[in-house]
Amino acid sequence: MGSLKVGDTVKMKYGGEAKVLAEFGSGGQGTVYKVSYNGKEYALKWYHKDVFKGKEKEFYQNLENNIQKGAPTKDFLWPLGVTEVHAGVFGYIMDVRPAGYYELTEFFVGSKKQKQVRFKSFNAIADAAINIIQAFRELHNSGYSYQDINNGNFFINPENGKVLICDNDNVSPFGVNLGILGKQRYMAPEVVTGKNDPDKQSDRFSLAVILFRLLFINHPLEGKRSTPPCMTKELERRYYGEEPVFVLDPSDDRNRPVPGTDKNLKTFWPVYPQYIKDLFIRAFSSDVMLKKAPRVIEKEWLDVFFRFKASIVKCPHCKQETFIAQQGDNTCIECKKKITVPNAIQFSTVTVPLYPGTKLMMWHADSSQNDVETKLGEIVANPSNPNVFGIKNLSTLSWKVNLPDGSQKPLAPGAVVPVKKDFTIECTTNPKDAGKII
Amino acid sequence: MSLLEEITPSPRKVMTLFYLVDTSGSMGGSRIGTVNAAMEECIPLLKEVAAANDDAEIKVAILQFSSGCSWVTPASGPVGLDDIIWNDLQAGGMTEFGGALLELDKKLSRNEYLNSQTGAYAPVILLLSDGGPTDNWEVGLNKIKENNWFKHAIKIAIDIESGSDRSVLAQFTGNPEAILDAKDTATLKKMIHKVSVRASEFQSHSKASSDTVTSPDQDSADIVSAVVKDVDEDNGAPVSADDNDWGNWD
Ligand SMILES: [Zn+2]
Repeated sequence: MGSLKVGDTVKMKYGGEAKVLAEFGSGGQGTVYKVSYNGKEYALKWYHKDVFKGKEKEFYQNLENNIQKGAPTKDFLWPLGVTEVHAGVFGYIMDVRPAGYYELTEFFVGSKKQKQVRFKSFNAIADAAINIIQAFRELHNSGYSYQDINNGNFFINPENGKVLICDNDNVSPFGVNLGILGKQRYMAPEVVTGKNDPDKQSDRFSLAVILFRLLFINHPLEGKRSTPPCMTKELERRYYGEEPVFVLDPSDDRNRPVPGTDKNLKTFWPVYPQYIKDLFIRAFSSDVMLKKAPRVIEKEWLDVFFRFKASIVKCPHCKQETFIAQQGDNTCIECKKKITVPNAIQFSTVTVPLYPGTKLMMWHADSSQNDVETKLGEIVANPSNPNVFGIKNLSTLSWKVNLPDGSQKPLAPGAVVPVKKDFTIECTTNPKDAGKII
Repeated sequence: MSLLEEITPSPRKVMTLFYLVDTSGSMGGSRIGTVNAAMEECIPLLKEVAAANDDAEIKVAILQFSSGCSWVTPASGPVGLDDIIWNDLQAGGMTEFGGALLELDKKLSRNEYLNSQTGAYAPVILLLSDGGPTDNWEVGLNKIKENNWFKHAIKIAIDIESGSDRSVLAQFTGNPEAILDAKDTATLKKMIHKVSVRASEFQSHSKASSDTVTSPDQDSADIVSAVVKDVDEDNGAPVSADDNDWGNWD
């Protein structure tokens, strides 16, 4: 059985039949169909014949193992059931991708006829980054590596940053590789040079490339040096494997962006907070890329992106989104006017400047809870005096506010505490998570 | 206006898809008719592939050859897929393949057709022919074989209804396995579509362990074998049986 036609049925391994309703699209490994199974619609990925080059059995077994273990987070469009093997060909079903999501590729390309997809807000970018990082953190925590992270695997909603990760069929337990190395421009240097099969560490390199491109669109390793007149396999090996150079490496200017093609970098590199840029500079330093120093781990990315998410507020002058990178004076990224931020709240691992619109997340107070969703509070301006700020308790718990005189006051959900220097606020049940206003 | 509205597409390397189309007298009738129909339908297919391709920007240049040769696409250079308007080709005249190669050789240069600020991948050159050359083709082939762009290019030939001189096609592609055998016009049409799509996607698929060290000639042969498989699958490959299935009937 080769390609399927509308109306064809395919037997599922654990009973029932999937009936083909329509074709969604075709790729290198297989074709995806809309099918009906047990009265519900699913997507069926149906592999082309001979794509596994003799590793069919291992692949099928791995797929079954993954189905049994279940998705690491809700953001994975995970295989739900395998088909029987029909004349050497098989496939698996997964949920249908809902509307509103676009392949990451569409955020990178565009033409006269096909509009480039753009995030609607920086907050959506921060959320997309957090969702992607957390997905891979959980995947790695479950003992898997993805092995083929690239622009075709991610579907993102540009309005709200929600993410769906597809093509989870190469996901394998530690130490297992099914013969896929990955896509050239996303492969880690040690995979490009053939020193290693893909694993958790190479996933981390690919993740850094994805995150960089979410923010800056252009590729982090493609500059003057790595743009020869004709790219060959030998040169790809050099520029992505043996001697990769970050286009914005502060200590190595050999691979600066090609003038005229660097508009995105020129627009966005200067405006993002330094702490984000510092982490990219580290992730793409020669030592980290060549594994002479450890790769940036997911927890470090999450810390930085939560700090960034808290910094996104509306400019009081131009009403556009801007970033409050620090306590004190900030410049609006849009209108370039000054925004002064008198106070910040200091938690054990992060200090968050406090300005109306700032969101305090559970992650800021206590990242060990592994909670990437709960919003604890938000900074609001006093309606009768907009220069006076307060923190509104958006959690379901009553907070404890410790005043400088040693007294303590409760703050019920929905209530507001004024932002005053030396107040200490316990916004979880653990006093160690308290934040001190400075 | 938000800064997010100033985002522009990421720079991509250019991958030029060259079609060398034999329009000699023997191509007349259904052969050239099929090529015209196939090429016309191929452009929207390629647009779909190109839209999903963040690795390469696909450009196309088409050279027809018979008694002499001429560019079907603008002589100024390869065009984007949105800018191609297909005009039906007419058949007539000799098969001056050597002359076509000399013309192509001139254009395979950074100073000519392959000038790109964002860099380029080696081109893909697809030859569609139904007959042996009538000129001194070896002069052209020897010349173009010294061109580095040609050396690194994916080169695939489609032999239309087995009318070509296969040894000429093999010398052109550098690999006898990089030839597609379009035994009839229905197959020819499918092959033009599938080889165009496969070749355009070549730079952007996930690599398997065996893909990293192969030569362009080998890559060309791999694309050909994938296309043959695609076409077979489409036709519903005949049921095969190995020796074991037959049992012992002696
Ligand atoms: Zn402003």
